[in-house]
Amino acid sequence: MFNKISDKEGQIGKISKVDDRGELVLPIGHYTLINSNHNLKPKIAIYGLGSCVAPIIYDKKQKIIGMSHVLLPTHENKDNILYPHKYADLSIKYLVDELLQHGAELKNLESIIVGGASIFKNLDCIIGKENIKAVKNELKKLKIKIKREDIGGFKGKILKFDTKDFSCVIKRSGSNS
Amino acid sequence: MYLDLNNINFEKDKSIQLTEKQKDVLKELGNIGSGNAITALSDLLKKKIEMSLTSIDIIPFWKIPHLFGDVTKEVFGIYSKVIGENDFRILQIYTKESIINMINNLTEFDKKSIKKIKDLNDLDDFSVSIISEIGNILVGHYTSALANLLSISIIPSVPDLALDTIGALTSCAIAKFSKKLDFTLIIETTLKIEEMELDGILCFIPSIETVENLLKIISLKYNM
Repeated sequence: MFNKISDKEGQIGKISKVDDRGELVLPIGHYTLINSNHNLKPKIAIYGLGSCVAPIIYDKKQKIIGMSHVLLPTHENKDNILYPHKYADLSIKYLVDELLQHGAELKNLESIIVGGASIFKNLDCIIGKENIKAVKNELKKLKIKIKREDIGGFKGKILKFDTKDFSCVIKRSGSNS
Repeated sequence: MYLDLNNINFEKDKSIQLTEKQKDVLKELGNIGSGNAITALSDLLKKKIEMSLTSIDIIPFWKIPHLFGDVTKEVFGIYSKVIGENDFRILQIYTKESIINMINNLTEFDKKSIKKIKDLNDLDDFSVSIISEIGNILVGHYTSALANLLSISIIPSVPDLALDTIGALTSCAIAKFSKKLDFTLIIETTLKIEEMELDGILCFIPSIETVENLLKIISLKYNM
């Protein structure tokens, strides 16, 4: 079920292995970066996206895509962060950094954000809204446009982003489409 | 012999290191709590319930949804918090069949069809209150057993309900307990009634401070 996780400069959380279905499944707190010029062109998938948020940032011209699965809005402890992509604030910074390192241009970057639902109506699910706010805030700081958003609500989602044509399919729990 | 509290090491590598003895104590707490809860449910449904031995997992946050099998499976979740000095959650997860069959077992009305229920809004108020009450009964008995055993006050809140995928259901609890740590401690017991296709799991999820506090209380009270 799990993809192998490779180390990157002492931090873990990058997924690069594609499963039998041609999908790259992102667990919570993990991220991936796809350069679709010379890599495979997998679908990046998240199954059961609840209060977490998935920011997708891409440069269509250079064909480079970064996506993560964030759990919390901000990081509290500064040292010893093993999974930076657990936190919205760090994740956006790291994603953009790595996108630029791989040849993307800041002015070309666009984004899609999905998730941040309140699955339980009262308990602990305020975190979904805080996650959305944190992601939007970081994107705004870097002046990255949000092209599409499917956020909030009370239902979990299945998200598939196709790195071949930059299309994004979102299915709500309990619906067939 | 005292339980060595200095052995709870979670700062250094962000994992939670417990001795076997500490794990056994926590497992026993889970056994006592879930035993009481399941007896209460058994009385209500007038059925014999098979329960598993309680197990304890200390796992990284991102693996938590996978504890419960296929993350895309749609299940009912009943989520309760406690009010007081101890900070923990009890998350109950049941298959759709479990909840619908329980409702059908307890009411004389039209029997509900499992296929038609895709959202909590597909259930009438009466059915929703039955689920809520089942959640209340289990959590109430679980926590009162712990409260009696440890001579502490534990008051559970009204439970929150949801019908969603395992992945989505668990995300709020994961967020709650992963702010400081990358690992979470979960004490879980499974319950089953074959003839009713009832299949569920009761999870006791404490904060690390609560784990420490509970072990301290036991250590003092039972002179371990």
